[in-house]
Amino acid sequence: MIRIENVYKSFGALEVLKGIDMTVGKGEVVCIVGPSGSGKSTLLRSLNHLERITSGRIFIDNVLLDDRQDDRDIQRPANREVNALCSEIGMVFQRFNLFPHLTALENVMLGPVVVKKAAQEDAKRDAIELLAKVGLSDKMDVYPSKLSGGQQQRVAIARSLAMKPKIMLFDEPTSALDPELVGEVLNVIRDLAKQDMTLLIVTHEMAFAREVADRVVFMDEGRIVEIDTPEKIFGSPSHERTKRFLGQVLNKSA
Amino acid sequence: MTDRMARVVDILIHSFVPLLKAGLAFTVPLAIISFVLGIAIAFIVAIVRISHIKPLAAFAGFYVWIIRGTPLLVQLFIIFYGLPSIGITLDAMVSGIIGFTLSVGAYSSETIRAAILSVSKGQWEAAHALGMSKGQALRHVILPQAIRVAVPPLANSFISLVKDTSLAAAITVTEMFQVAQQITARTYEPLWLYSEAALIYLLFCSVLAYLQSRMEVRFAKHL
Repeated sequence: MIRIENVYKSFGALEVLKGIDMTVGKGEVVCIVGPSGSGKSTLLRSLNHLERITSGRIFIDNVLLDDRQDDRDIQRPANREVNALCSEIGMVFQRFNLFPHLTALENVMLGPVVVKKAAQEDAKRDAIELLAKVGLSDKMDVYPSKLSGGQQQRVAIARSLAMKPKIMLFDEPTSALDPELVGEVLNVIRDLAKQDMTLLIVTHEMAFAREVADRVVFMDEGRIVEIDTPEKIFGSPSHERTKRFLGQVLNKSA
Repeated sequence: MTDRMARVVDILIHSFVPLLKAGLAFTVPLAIISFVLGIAIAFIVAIVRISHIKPLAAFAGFYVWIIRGTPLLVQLFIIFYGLPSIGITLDAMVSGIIGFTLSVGAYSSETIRAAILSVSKGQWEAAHALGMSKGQALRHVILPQAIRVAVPPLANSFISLVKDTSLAAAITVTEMFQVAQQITARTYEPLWLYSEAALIYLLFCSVLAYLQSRMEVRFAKHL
């Protein structure tokens, strides 16, 4: 579903991704963990062109999204194709990024209506269903500023799902939430994980990662240190750095 | 003394209708037409400057530089009195509309550019993540939010423009101030005539200020 080959990314002189290789299978749930500044979010954002990689190749569903060698575009898909590809990849942001001028319902409807040219009534029917799915049937006509963080994030998830994506990317979806609101968002993601959707989740919620992930990626300083099952990563990690990081994080939350 | 006052009152009453007429026939249309055209130019200039299309952005920057760096009155003189010498003769009203439009276009482009840039990057990203093109994101996500930011300063510019149209008197447009000058020339009551004209400007601008506050309330919803 996703194939990442030898990806590098620099912001000016700062190299944040240093040769990332990984593949994600269809329907797989992969959690990416690691200290801040390790490149987790940058990697995720490269998958839908919010960041352009410096070199390497990314394939989505066997379609080339990015191919760069030595900073030169060898084969770069047209903007239209990139937009089409990106509409198949949903993204949920740390800061929700709901559209403040639209109600919850309109937020969910906008993507299908604008991008897929869906009829208003079809989009509305789907949006009502999706908002029900994330438990917000009673908030459809409410504007984002009147919703709690957890509710906003659930609307954001519904908004992404409205595009019927094959892949969902979650960029620290609960990091901006008050602790008591984290659970409601994780519940929604948990439901998605049970379905046949491919999920990539950057998270600091270790217990959650352990529970939902098929595989866990541990990143540090722009490299993938190890990829393995959650049992292996959290139970008996093979690298000293993974052990140290998990020790620190788990102690903190204990 | 009472004779003088009676005369002044008589002049003021008789000049009120011609002044108001000039205001409604010239001042108001001049302001509205120039503002609408000017905003269209301002919008294009703002988008061009944000888009970084090099030659166009450079041209837009040059335009803003020229218009902001030279006096409006001088620009009006160049258009109305200067252009005929190279064979372009324009009607006074048309010259006025061109001058004011270019002025609004330059100043408001900065307002609109700032308003667009004030919408957080996360909004562009969310739109992109839904598969929207830049144009779709601009139209459906960014502009509806930018408008709220732009309305107060743009309304300010419009109020300013209504008063600036009095400069058109200098290029023979028979707008309100020009008519006030004509009546003054006949009656020799500059204090009263110009004050009366000022009062009508004040009236127009008060109505606009009221509309502005109403619009701000409307656009401030949900923020």
